[in-house]
Amino acid sequence: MNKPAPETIQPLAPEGAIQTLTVVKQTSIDASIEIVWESMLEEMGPAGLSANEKPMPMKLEAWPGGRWFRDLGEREGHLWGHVQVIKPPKLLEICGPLFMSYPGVNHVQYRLTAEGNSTWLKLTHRGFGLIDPDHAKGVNTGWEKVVQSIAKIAERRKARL
Amino acid sequence: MSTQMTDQEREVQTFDFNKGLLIAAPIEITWEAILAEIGPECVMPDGTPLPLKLEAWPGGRWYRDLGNGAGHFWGHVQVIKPPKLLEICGPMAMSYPAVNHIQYRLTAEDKGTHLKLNHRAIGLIPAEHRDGMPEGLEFWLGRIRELAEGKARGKK
Repeated sequence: MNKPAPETIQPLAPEGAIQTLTVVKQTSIDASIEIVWESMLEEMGPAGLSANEKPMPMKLEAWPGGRWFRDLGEREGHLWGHVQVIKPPKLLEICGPLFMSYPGVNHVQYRLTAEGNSTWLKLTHRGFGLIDPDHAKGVNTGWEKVVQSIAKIAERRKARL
Repeated sequence: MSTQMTDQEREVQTFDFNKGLLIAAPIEITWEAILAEIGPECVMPDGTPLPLKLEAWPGGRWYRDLGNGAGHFWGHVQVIKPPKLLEICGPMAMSYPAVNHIQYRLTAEDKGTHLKLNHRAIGLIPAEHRDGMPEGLEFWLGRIRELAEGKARGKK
């Protein structure tokens, strides 16, 4: 993680109005692209963490149209989105409501680029809808933690090799 | 051939319907009444049957099955926690770009169940649709009450 993580967030619109949201997080991870891809899937799945960093395992059906969801058992749970594009180990896109219990459209893109022995990970989340101002603020920190978590998982995976 | 759109049709519109009611039935029966009303028992305000199918799990489809691969997709189950919470997101019956979020929240009370329906949408919603939706939603709420209270009376 040796490069700064630029980010952009649109200014908040008045509550009840349609708002847009853009968050970009990027970092270099000292691991191969295959390891980072598997680490990303692990973070999006069994190693998922909530905003307060408690375990929040998710399930990702890693195929086009597959669900990304929180499985609470016995057919209970939360749908976060569907796989829009999947091209291992370079590109994953998700579209869906994410955690938004209001009308919203989200697009999340994980793009991985091999750079020598490292991998550049760029995560972009864009959305629009009747976005809760607290969510608009919280996603910035949330995605930062996601990127850090992927890097940590990748370090562990690499050390196990 | 192109069709001219009015300024109103080009503008992204919002819709917000929020209503709660007390239903004289236990929460489990009210939950089942919701699944019936948005499923096989669904009818339009004029009484025409409109049976729908709900795959009651996260990501499950809510759709009109016309058979032979024909039908209308209305949405996906976003959150499901029987018998307290159901959220659906999707296009509903809107054949134009729009996003709907529908939330049924149930709370058990001494005299029955408090049901709160919140339906919000954004999109290129024509004025006549937006203005007509509250009537349809009121009707559906009334149907849920009718189904739930009827079933609760039958069980006594």
